[in-house]
Amino acid sequence: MYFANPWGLLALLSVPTIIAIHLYHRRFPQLVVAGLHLWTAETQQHLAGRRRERLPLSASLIFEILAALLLSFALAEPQIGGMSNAVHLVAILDNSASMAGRPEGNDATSFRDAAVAELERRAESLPRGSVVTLILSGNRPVMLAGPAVAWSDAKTRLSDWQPHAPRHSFEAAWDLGLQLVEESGELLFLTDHLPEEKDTPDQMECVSVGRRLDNVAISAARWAFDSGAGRGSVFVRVQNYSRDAMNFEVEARAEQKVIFRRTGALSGQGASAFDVDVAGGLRELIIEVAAKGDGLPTDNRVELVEPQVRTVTVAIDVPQADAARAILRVIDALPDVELGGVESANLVFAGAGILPESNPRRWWAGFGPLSHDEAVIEAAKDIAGPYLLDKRHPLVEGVILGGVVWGGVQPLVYDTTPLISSGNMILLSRLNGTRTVGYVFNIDLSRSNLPESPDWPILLANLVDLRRESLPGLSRWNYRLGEDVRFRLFEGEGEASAAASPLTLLHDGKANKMIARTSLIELPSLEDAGIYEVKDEAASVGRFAVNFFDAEESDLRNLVPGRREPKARTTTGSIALDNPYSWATLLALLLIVAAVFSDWFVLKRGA
Amino acid sequence: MLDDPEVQRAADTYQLGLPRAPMAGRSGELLGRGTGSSLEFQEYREYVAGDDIRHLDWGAYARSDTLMVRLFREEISPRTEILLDASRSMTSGGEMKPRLARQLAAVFAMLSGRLGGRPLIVLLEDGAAVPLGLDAIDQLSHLPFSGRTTLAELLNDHRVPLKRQAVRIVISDFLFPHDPAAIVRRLAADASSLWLIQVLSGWEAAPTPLGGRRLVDIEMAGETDLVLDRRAVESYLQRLSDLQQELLRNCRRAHAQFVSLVADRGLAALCRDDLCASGLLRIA
Repeated sequence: MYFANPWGLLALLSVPTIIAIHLYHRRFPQLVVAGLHLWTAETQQHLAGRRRERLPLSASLIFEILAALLLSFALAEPQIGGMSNAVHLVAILDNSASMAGRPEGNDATSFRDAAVAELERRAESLPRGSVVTLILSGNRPVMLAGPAVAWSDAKTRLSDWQPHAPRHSFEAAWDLGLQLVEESGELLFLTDHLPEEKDTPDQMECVSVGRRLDNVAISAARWAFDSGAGRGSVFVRVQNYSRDAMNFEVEARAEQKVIFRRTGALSGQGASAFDVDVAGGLRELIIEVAAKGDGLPTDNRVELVEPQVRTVTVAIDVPQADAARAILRVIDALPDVELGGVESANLVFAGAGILPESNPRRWWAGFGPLSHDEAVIEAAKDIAGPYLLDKRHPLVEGVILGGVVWGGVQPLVYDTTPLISSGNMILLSRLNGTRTVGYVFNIDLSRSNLPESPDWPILLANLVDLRRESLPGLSRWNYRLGEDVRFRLFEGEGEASAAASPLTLLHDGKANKMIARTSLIELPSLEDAGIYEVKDEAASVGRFAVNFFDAEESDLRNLVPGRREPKARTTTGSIALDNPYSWATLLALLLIVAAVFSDWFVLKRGA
Repeated sequence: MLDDPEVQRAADTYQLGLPRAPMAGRSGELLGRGTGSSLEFQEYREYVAGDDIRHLDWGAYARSDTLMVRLFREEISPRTEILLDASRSMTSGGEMKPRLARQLAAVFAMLSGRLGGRPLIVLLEDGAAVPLGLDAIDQLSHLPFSGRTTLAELLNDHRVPLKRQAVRIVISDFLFPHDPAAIVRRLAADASSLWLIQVLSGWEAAPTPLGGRRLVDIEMAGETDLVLDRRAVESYLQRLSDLQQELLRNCRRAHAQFVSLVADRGLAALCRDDLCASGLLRIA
């Protein structure tokens, strides 16, 4: 036995205090009588008085000293057990979704259950007083229990564990485990496949509880919406991750109503994809695949949220008629775009000669010529390349400019950031020094063949898409697990007023986290699949779905059981288990209560 | 004490009730104030119902045609010795106990003095006993009751001057360790008659449960912690009763009288009830 809190023994000073009180403290009031001898000795109490007398061993004194001793004992937190044999077991649990794999059959246990059973067996064979730390692997490892808690506490937390993470590196979890295990203790990694030996820490023992399983998964699912037709299109791809052919059935439901059902056969390692037109207004779809012999339920279900229509209002205010026609021709062909006035438009196409006023809600695209001075126009250059494009910018994504003559290029005097240039001439640039998002097309469309080239609609479509993405609200409604979710709450920069309450993120209807109210909302790497909703108090800002799509985790063909002993054994050291509720402490507390109650009873009888 | 109205009222109301048969020695050496059975004629008075017809004076009846009875002087013992316990125990239980003790001593002395006797109050204090004559009776008012020596110790040490053939009245609480047989025998020796009067405070006669108390003996300085509960009180009362019974039994054996008085009842009530009932006083 040892004491976790030896300072508690200072409470033993209360014992001489109690003795002193009994020596000098007069408990009974004095009564002067004649004929003391007539009072019988039967009820005589041997209590000390202020006059120092021989200390009487009264029941009250004994009970009070007993209570003080027990209290000191309890405060010192006695720990019973062989301290020298106690072990700190740090167990790292593979939290990847494949650990949820379950062989076919009612009595079969999942890999997760097998790992828990292995951990139980290990923990219960540890010497008394040993402690356990449980770590869940992931991009950000999570300490499920601990550090260094009793196995009974860790076991309670373990019951809530359901592996669900997409493929990730285990190294962060291993590093955390190594830090916790230090020089002593045991490091155990429970997984469904043994990692490469060269990658694992030397002190770590690896146990694989996995085995080869067949699996059919929904490897991709998308929901597109045609606002013109008012109908949607759902794309589903089903993948067979087994060597044998498998039959499957896909069923999609919206609010318990079956929207479509597909059956088919998949060859070994084969895939099947199909598009299904669905009516608009379904809001959400649950798509599930079922196949006999399927080993992993996690990838059999996806939930999709119906995309919303985000219309961009465009105004064309270009002086040159031929330029306006070239723009209008493309705008007419783009979906979810409407024409409007300059004041109400999200995106204004205008002449580049006059810069727009600063307005964070306004996007502006200015087309040349920059100057209408005849001499300048005369001096403008027509450039046939080569062109230098800033490929990182989404505006020029897919733009090649092959065979394009960029005509009427004038010297640019604005403060801009070039996106397309040729030599020292800036052809397309982002306007700086204004809150308006502006792009300057240094071009005279009447002298260029750009409107006839394939790059023209690409450029304008990119511009409209950029503008659409910058509109408030979600720009996508269906994400993969681990993918960042990013959307704009309101246009402009900065944060809302301090008085504004934060937004709430709900996951499957339950409050998940609070979100600061800023212009751009970023939800990094959501790790739980399901339907999320961002709420501004009672109002819904947007709903989106996060689904598990991970081909590596769905492929269970390479899982094998195994065990790898640690290459270097750690020295088992002593572990102090500071459990304030050891049975010795509890017993001491009970005895304290009994002693105090007895003392009270004795004094009450004497009062 | 002469100014004490209660004492004066008692002295005017009562007379000493002397024993019919003295324990030893001669009686009749002193004539009492009241009528009695001596041979010395005192006076005539008219017969009233209840008078002893043996004392009718038939000659006077023949002369005056009125029934007259002859009254004779009462015979009393020549010396009355009042032993007053002046120890501290007489002050326990409040002021009533020492006050009654003083009053009783004064009343007995005055009653004895009115009979023409020579009453002597003997204060039983530490050291030698202090005798007080009738003329010094007022000193009782200042009696401090400060002695620590018990009556038993004084008697054993022969520090109490006991006169022979005296009527002896002992006023004490008798709440000290003693052998009743020995103390009664010692007090009764050479006494014409002996009265033991035990004076107790109300709480001493009928204590109530008080819970835990440190009892301090006012005289012996002993201490003990007791729980004064119902059981302890009953036990105390039993012991007190045993003591009183033992004193009473030994007094009877020595032809003496024992009476226990509770001081809280007051002198008047005690004289009227307890002392008259015991025969120590009678209405004059």
